[in-house]
Amino acid sequence: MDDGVTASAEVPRPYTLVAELTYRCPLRCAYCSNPVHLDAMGAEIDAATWARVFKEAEALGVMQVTLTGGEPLLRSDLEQVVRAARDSDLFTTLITSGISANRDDLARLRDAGLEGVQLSFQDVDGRAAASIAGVDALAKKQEVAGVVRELGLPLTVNIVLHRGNLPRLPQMIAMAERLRADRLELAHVQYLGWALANRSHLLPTAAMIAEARMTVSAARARLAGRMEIVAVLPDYFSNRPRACMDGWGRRYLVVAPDGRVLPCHAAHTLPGFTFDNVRTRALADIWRESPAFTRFRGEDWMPRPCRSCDRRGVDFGGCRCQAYQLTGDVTLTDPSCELSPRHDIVRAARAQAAVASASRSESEAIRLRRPPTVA
Amino acid sequence: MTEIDVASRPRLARGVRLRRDRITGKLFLLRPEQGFELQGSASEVVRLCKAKLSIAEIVDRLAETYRDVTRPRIVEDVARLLAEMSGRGLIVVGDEP
Repeated sequence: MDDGVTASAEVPRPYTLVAELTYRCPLRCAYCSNPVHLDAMGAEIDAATWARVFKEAEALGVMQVTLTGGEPLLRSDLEQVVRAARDSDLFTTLITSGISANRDDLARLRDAGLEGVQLSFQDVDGRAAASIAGVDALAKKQEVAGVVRELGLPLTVNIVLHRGNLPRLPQMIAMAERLRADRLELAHVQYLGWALANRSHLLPTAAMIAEARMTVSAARARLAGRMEIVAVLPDYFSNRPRACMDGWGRRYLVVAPDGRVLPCHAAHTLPGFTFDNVRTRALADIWRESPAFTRFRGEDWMPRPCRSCDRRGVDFGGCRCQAYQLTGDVTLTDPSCELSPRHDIVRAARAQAAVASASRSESEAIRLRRPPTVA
Repeated sequence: MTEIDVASRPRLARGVRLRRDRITGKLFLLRPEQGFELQGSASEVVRLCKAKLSIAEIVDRLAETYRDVTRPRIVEDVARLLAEMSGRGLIVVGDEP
């Protein structure tokens, strides 16, 4: 779907809508990408409003919608939401922890038009999963994976990787095989929000990353044509930033549970932004004109060294949230880039992780996500 | 690449959907969280797969459209396209489930 670099003058079209239906969740993952402070959250938008959002998104060019959260299954009107997404001809995927899933509900969602399920796992070790997510739901998740396959829905197994579970990567791949997943997503923690607060517990060492790379490439060769493996390694070790959201306001739209429209799911951590809401403004206007979307779209905003870098159309200057959360300045080059003047921050974090990983005792406890106070 | 069976009827893999992009008019194959734009003759081949034609019939149809291209060349192109798309898990060619 790559359409190359978009000139800053013309407005690109979005392909994917990330619909965050709720921030409520039975899990408390210490690397959750939801906001750390949920105090400012408004009430969740209803199914009728989602239906309108889907229609407006499709008209803008969106073809895919991922229903996510929080835990979307906690919404009692999820079936209506799924039906509305399909009525707008969007390819509709559910991202779920599986914890509150049952066969009848999933069958109803399939009949309403659901086209794929991404099931998240924390670990292959139930006790370790509980220490990172507050709950051991491994058996339940495996059961739900079976139900998804029985219902004939494509299954993606998603596992977030970090220092604690990386040694069990081969077993994770074996589990996804056993569950007959069509696709395995091995997504390393991104160090924003909760994960940044817990970084010294989560960041692996360079040696662990090197080993993980080899494990993944061997598994890919062995499973070619049977199970696709998508692996996202931490940008702290890649020397170049990841193309966050494939570029700001370029392909993705995120609608938060309260109806605010964001260029990425963590954008509400950035200062100096006001985000428009689908309750009060048309999605097309927000996409094309709202300052939240235009601010980092294209290349005009870019600082040195991005401005003259031959990779500016590949990584788009990296992640704005990471730049802000690490340096305090949202307009700087992402410090994960070795060309960034502030790459020292990332080097220091790597060194700290190497020390922390060598010492057995964890001086500070990992912080689990607080449950949201607003439903 | 192994020899293809021209009697087989390729079909979209489970969970893959064909749809037109309203912005460009081009055909896309969609699956969870991914989309593939079909370039050039790929969109014709996929449309003919959707119509449940065999590979031989697909070649016949394309031969009618592309009169200046030799039949062996068309067979070769179709085989290459199908191999590429089945390698990506978008199309099923043989008897796989």
